[in-house]
Amino acid sequence: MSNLVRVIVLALVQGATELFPVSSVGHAVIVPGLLQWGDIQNSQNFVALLVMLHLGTAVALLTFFWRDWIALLRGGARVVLAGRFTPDVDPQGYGRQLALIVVGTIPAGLVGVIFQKYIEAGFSIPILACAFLVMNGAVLLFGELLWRRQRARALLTRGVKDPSVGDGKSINEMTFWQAAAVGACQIGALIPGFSRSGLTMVGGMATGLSHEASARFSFLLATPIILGAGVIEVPKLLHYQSELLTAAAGGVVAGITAYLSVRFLMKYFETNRLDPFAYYCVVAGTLGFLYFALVTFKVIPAL
Amino acid sequence: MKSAYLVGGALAVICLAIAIYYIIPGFYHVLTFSDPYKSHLTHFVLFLGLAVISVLAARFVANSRPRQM
Repeated sequence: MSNLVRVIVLALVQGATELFPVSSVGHAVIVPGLLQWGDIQNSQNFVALLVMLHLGTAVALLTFFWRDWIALLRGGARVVLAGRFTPDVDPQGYGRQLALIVVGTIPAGLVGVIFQKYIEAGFSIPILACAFLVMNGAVLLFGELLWRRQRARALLTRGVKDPSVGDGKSINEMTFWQAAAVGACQIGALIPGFSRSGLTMVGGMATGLSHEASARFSFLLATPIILGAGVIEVPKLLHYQSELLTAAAGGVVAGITAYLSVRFLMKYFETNRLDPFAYYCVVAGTLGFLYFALVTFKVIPAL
Repeated sequence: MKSAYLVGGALAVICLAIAIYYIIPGFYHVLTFSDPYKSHLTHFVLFLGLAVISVLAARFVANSRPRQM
């Protein structure tokens, strides 16, 4: 199979799994392991590909949320100049939302910059990624269970039985400590197998956010992290000029896939839950774990 | 109000010092995965950003507290 085709397949996987709560890093470890594409991961050009995939995904998120980001940056500029979040300065709360995103980015940014390479070096083994993917599914199911109990308790407290009432609070109702806690959930996603979007969504739902608000906050939180991861590595592209076109093709494919994914997910979470993704993670992770275990012990040959 | 600026300022100075520590080559840089003796731009940007955020946070905290008459 040509290198371009393999890059496009990886880009499709990256673009979709970066935003679906099914662990992009886990799939980036498992899929090449399944398809025996370890030579791509071990090649020096893999760096250029990763940079382009990250940039493609970040561009997709910025494109989808461009109105939000313009409002956030305008609101942020107003509150920074005024030094406060009062309604006269920040009537719609965009400045405060930007501050929540900044606060949420700090924990994962700090841990990621310092420890990510150590974690990836230790955990980038397909069988381990499969095990953590199963755990990711369990976390998603637990998050849903917790959210349903919270809503049931809230509905009982208000004495209202209509399930459409009180679907959860909005992002503006979060405190800064809650934003930091939700952002800290991204740290778990450094381990291949755990999903950034899944963990942050569960974290958001645990603070009382609706599914839609959790998804939106998760994608807004992801943008600076993914963009930063891509931009920081851009100077390395100068060393891989011969592979730039192939990597750029991968970036475009990842970007288009990511855009379609976020568009689907924002619509999906208006009325739906995390359960299907949890079941996928548990089943796929279990099957993958069994496959790699059987291959490791030479019970079956590799694909 | 003054304590918010003091804490924020102190944090900013610490983060700035760490940022400078990571950008100057030749020193042994702890907690770096690659060559510990070269400049680490990522760490520099991270701690510079934290220094800026510390100052801004101090300003917001100070302005959110009622002034004492």
